[in-house]
Amino acid sequence: MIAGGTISAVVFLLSIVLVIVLLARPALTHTREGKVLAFFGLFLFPILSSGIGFSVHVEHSKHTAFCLSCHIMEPYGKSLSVDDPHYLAATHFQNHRVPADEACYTCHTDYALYGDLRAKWSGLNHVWVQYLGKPPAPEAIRLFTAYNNRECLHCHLGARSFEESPIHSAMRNDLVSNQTSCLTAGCHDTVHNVADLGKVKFWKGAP
Amino acid sequence: MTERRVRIAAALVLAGLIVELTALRWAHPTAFLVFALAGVPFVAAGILVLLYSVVSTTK
Repeated sequence: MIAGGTISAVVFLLSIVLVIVLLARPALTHTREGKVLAFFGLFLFPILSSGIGFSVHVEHSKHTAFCLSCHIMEPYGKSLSVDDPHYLAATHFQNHRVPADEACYTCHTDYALYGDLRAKWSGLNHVWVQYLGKPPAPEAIRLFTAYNNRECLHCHLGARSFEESPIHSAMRNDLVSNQTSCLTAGCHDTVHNVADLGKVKFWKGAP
Repeated sequence: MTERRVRIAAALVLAGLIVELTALRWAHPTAFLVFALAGVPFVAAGILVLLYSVVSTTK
């Protein structure tokens, strides 16, 4: 099976070769065959290449390493290694309740129609603030909107550990309707807590 | 299609493709910005020059 990376490399290289041919010999376009070549080389393949490139960037942006490549996110990456099961992000990451290489994306995407696009749009807002705004201190970063229980229940609803918990059963309707947040004080309220990272122990087995 | 316009279109598309290809080798938010704000506009400009060339020749 041919890998996606190989296909994109072939499309890009083919585009570049065709464009170089047309750049060197523009007179080719006087003939019918040359016009067809120009259509492929200067229209179809460049559009295809840009589309593939966009798709590759979207895939890159799902990776944990991509999110943590920004300096401001470093404490959030470190919080994934906290040696304390009460740290929600850490326990999900360390126990592979989320894919380790897509940890940020799995919890911070939006499991609704066009959720991926909304998540990407939020990501672009981060980039905007980073370059053109005043980036806050890592511990002052807040979500754009309150965390939606839908993102938790996407995996947990129906799971035995969730359904058999008496607290979850008692609050089930409120949780499903998002009236009570999973992150409510006294429940799962310790998420990243980057302000307290200086006071905690870290799991040495973290990748 | 005039040769000059084809050459301009090809140069713009080539510049865009090189920028896009370079940005693809780097998985960082800045790479996406370079791709979207430099690579794609160059390619789009090249395509527009080509289309303009086709339309103006047809006339």
